Amino acid sequence: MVLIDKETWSLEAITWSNFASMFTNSKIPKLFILANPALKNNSQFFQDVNLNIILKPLRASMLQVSLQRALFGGGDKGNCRNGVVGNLSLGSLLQGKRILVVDDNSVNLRVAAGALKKYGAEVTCADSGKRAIEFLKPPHSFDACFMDIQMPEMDGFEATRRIRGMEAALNDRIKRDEVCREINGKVIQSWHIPILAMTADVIQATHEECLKSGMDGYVSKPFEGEQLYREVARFFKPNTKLS
Amino acid sequence: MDYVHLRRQAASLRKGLFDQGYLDEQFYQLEDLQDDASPNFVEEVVTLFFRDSARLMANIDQALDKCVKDFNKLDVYMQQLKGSCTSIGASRMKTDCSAFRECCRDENIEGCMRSFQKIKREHSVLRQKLESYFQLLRQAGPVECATRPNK
Repeated sequence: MVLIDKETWSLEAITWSNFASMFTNSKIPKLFILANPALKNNSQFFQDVNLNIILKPLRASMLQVSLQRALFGGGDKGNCRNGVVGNLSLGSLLQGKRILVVDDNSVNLRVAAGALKKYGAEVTCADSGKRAIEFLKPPHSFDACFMDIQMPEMDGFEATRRIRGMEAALNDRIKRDEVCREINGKVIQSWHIPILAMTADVIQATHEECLKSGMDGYVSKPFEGEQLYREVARFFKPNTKLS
Repeated sequence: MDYVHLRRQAASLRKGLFDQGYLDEQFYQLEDLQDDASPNFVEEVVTLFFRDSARLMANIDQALDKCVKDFNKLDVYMQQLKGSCTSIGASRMKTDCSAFRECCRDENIEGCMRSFQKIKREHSVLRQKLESYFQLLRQAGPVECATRPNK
C-alpha cells in the first residue's frame, strides 16, 4: 500500500489521474491519496473515480474501511470520500428502502432525512416516539427505523420497547396461525424491524440500554459515513443491480 | 452584474467562516446533500436552524429569568440547541453550548448567564454572516459550468 499526502507532493509532469492509473493496472501496490477536505470544492479531483481518496485527518476507522474496500471490495470502484464509503456502496444498500426517521428536533430530522434520501432511500419523518409507534404498528411497509433516543415526551428506548411488544404480540398470533403471514406479497414469518438508535453522546451505557430495549444498534448523529455503512450493512444486502 | 466577482466574494466569506472556526466539516456534509433534487438544501436547513434556535434561546431566556433556577430544564433546552448546532456544523456555538451545560451540572448560575450571553453573540454573528453568504449566492446566480473556486 502507498499513501500519499496530496499537499506535500505536487505532481507537475502528469496529472493525479494518470499517476493513479499506473497503480490500477497492477494488483499491487494500492495507492491512496490523503487529501485536505477544505479543497473539496475542487470537484474534478474528488470525483475522479480512479482515485482512492481518504480525507484528512486520517482516522483509524476510515482507514480500515477504505483498505477493506480497495483490497477486497467486489467490483464496486466508487472512490472513498469523507467517511462516505463510496456513495455507490451506501446507495446500493439503501436504494429504494423505506426508512422511518424519528427525532423531535426538526433540524436534526431534516439533515438525517436528507442524508438518507441522498442514497436513494424513501424517507418518512416522525417527530415523536408516539408517532413512531403509530407508523411501526405491524403490519407496515418500513424496512428500517432510525430513532433518536433523547426525546422529551417518550424517549427512543420506551418507543422501541412498545414497538417490540406489538411485534411480539403479532408474532404470537402468526405462530398460532391466527393471522395471515403475507403482506404486500411478502411472507413475513416474524416481525422485527431493524431499529437503529441515533445518539449525540455515544457511550457504553447507551449501547447497553439500546440493546436492552430491543434496538439493533446505534449510530451517532449527525451520521458518520463509515459507521452508517457498517450498521446498515448488517441488515441490508447490497443491491448489485441498481435500477 | 459582475457574477464572477460576487461568486468570489461568496467563496471568500465561506472560507472565512471555516478559517475562523464558525463552521466545521459538518457544513460540508450539508453542501454534499445539495443537488438537483434539493437545490436549496443548505439554505433551507440553515433557515430552519435559526428559526429553531431562536425559539430555544427564548425558552432559555425565560427559564433564566425565573427566580427558581431549574438546571435540569436549562440543560434539556441546551442539549437541544447543541444538537441543532452539531447538525449544521455551527462549531463555535456548539462549544459554547457545552460550556453552558457544564455550568448547569455545577449549578453555577452566573456561569450559565455568562455563557448564554456568549451564545447569543455567536448566534447573532453567525446569522449575519450566513445571511450575507446566501444573499451573495443568490445574486451571483446559478453556476452554469463547473468553475474552480478560489482556495
